[in-house]
Amino acid sequence: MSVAGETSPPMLAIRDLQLGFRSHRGDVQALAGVSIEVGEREIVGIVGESGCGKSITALSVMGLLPEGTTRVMGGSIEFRGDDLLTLPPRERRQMRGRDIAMVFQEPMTSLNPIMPIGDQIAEPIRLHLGLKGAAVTEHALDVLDKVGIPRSRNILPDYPHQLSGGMRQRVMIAIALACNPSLIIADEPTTALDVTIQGQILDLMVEARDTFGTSILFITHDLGVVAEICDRVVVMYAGKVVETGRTDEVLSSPRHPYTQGLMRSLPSLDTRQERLETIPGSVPALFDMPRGCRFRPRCSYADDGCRRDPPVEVIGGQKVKCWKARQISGVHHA
Amino acid sequence: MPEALLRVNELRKDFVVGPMFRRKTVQAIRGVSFVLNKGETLGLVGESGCGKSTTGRAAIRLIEPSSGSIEYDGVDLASVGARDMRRLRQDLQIIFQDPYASLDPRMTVEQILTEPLGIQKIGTSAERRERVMDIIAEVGLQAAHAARYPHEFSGGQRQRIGIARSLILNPKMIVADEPVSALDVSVQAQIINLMQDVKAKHGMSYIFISHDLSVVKHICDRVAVMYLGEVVETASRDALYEEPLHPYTKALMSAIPGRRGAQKRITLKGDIPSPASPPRGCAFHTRCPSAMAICKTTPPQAIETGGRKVACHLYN
Ligand SMILES: Nc1ncnc2c1ncn2[C@@H]1O[C@H](COP(=O)(O)OP(=O)(O)OP(=O)(O)O)[C@@H](O)[C@H]1O
Ligand SMILES: Nc1ncnc2c1ncn2[C@@H]1O[C@H](COP(=O)(O)OP(=O)(O)OP(=O)(O)O)[C@@H](O)[C@H]1O
Ligand SMILES: [Mg+2]
Ligand SMILES: [Mg+2]
Repeated sequence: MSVAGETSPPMLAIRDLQLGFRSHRGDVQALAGVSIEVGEREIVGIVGESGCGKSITALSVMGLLPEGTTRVMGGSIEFRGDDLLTLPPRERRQMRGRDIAMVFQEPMTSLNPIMPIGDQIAEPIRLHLGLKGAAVTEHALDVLDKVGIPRSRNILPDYPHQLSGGMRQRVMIAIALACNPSLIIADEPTTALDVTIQGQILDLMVEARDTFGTSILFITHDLGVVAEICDRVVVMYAGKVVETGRTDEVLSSPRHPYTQGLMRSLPSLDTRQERLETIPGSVPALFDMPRGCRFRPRCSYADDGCRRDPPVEVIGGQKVKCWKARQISGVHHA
Repeated sequence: MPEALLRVNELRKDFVVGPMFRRKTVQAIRGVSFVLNKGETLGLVGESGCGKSTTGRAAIRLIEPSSGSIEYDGVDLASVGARDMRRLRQDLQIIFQDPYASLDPRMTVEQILTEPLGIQKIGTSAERRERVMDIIAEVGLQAAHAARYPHEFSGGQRQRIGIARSLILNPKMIVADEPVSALDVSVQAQIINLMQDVKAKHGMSYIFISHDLSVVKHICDRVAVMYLGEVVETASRDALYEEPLHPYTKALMSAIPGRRGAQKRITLKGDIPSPASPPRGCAFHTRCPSAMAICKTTPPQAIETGGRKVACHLYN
C-alpha cells in the first residue's frame, strides 16, 4: 500500500514491535505489536494521543530507550534489510547520525548546553564524513545556511541558550542533516514553536526530502501539520496502530472509529459549529488495558465481538484495525 | 449596542531583568488598549513572548501594570486600594494553561475549591460544602473526586478543577490563559465545550488567550492580535478570519497548518525581535513583507475602520 512499497522494499520496516517497561506495578506493555513502514523519499506521520507510544516507537528505532527497564518482547526493526534489534551495539551507534538522525521536540534537552554550536555541529561531520580542518567548518556553515540561519558564521561560538527557540530547532535540524542521513525521525519538532516559525521548519523538512531524498518519520499530534507535509499517516491508539493510509484518504475519509472521533473533535476553520463533538471517556492506563480492541470502552460501534483482538482490514488504500471497519465504511465482503 | 465590562487603556508593563550592573528593561506590553464587552469572549492571539499572558494578568491586576488605566464596571482598577481590590477579586478570575502548577499539591480538591469562599467570607461551612459539590458536578467531575489530590487526576480532569476554582465565586469575567494548549485534541474538545456551557449558564465574559487560531475562531466573538507587546489589529471574529488587514495577521492566518484551500503561506523572514530592544518605528517592520520607508521611523497609530481597528501605515 505504501507508494514506495510496491516498487522497492521499504527503507524502514518496524514489524509487530512489542515493547514493555518494568515498573512498580509489574511489567507493562507499552507497544503491543506496532508495524510501520517508511519508503524511500517518503514522509510518514505518526499521530495519536499523549501516551499512545509515538516517542518510544521512535526511540526504539534509534536504540535510545533506557536499557535497564526496557524489554523488547517481540518483533523486528529492519533498516535497509538489517534488523537493528540484533545489530551489535557498536554498529548501531555508528548508524546514529550517519544513517538515521533524530530531531527532538525540545532542542534544549538534546543540545549540549556547555558546548558552542559550532563544535556540536562539527562533531558528527568529523566522525561520519571524515572531513578535517577548514573543510569541517565549510560543511557546517553550508548546512546552517541551508536551514535558513542568517550570518551563520556568527553563531558558531554561541551556546544554545543564546539562541531563540526557532534558531535552536533549526540548529538541531542542521545537525541532523549534516551527514546526509537516509532517514530523519522528528519527534514533535515544531510543537514548541510559533506558527510562523513552524511554517519555516516544515518547509525545511520538505526541502530536505526534495533535494537530498531524505525519508522522514514525523511524529506530531497536529493533524494540520500531517495534512501539510506527510505522504502517509499512521494513527496510534494505546500502544497499537489502528489505521494507516495515504494522508489525503485518511483525513478525508477516516475509517477507524477513533480516527473519526479525532477528526470530529477538531474545531473547523471552514464551518461554524455550536458545539464540538467529543470522544466520551479517556485513554486507558497501561496497567489497565481492556482486552481485545483497546478503543472498545469508548466506541459507539462496539459490541461483545470486540473483546477479541481485531483483524487488520484493507479497505481501498487504508489499513484499519477494527472489527466494524467494513460495516462502518459501507464496504461488504467480496 | 454592546455594553463594556472592561476598558483597558494604554496599558504598559516593564520587567527589569538581569544581574546587577547588567540590568535591562523588558517592555512586555507597550500601550495595549482594548474593550471587553459584557457576555463576550475576546481572543488574544500572537506569537510566544508577545505579551498575551502579561496583558491578561495586568488587566485583572494579578500583576501591577507600570502605567495605563483599567476601567472595570465604572471603577479604575489600576488605582483602587488593596481592600477594594480584594472585594473585586471575586469578579475577576483566571484559568491557567497548566492548572497543575497552580493547584496546591497538598490540598484536596474540596480544600482547593473551599479556600476562595473562606477568603471572601462567603456562607456557612455547610453552604460552602454545598456550593463546592455543585461546582464539582457542573464541571463534570464526580463527588468522590472531592477528597482526592491534584496529582491523582489526568490533564483534562485537572483543567476541570482549574475551571471549577475560577467559577466558585461567580465571577463576571475570566481570563483563560491557554486553557487547552496542553491537552490532546479529544480532551481539548471536552474542555472547550465545558467553557461554553458554563458561559451560557452564568453569562460571564472571557478573555481567551491562545495561539491556536482554529480554537480561537471556534470560541471567540472578537479577536485582538498582538505583536511584540502591542495590539496590531482588533476585529470581530468573522471580519478577522475572512479579511485580515494587518500584514502580521495575514501571515499568521496563512501559516495555520493544513488550512484547506488556503492561499500560499506567507513566510516571514527572521525571528521575533527581543522585547528588550523593540525595533524603532513599526515594531513589525523588520519582518513585514510590505514594509515602507515610513515604517522604519514612525510607529503607526491604530485607526478605526468599519468597527475594527488596525495599526499599520498601509491603512493611514
Ligand atoms: N522509560 C519509561 N519507563 C516506563 N514507562 C515509560 C517509559 N517511557 C515511556 N513510558 C510509557 O510508555 C507510554 C508511551 O509513551 P510515549 O512517550 O511513547 O508516548 P507519546 O505517544 O510520545 O506521548 P506524547 O504525545 O505525550 O509525547 C506511556 O504510557 C509512558 O508513560
Ligand atoms: N515575570 C517576568 N519577568 C521578566 N520578564 C517577563 C516576566 N513575565 C514576562 N516577561 C517577558 O515579557 C514578555 C511577554 O511575556 P508574556 O508571558 O506575556 O508572553 P506571551 O505572549 O504570554 O507568551 P507565551 O505564548 O510564550 O505564553 C516576554 O519577553 C517575557 O520574557
Ligand atoms: Mg512523545
Ligand atoms: Mg503566555
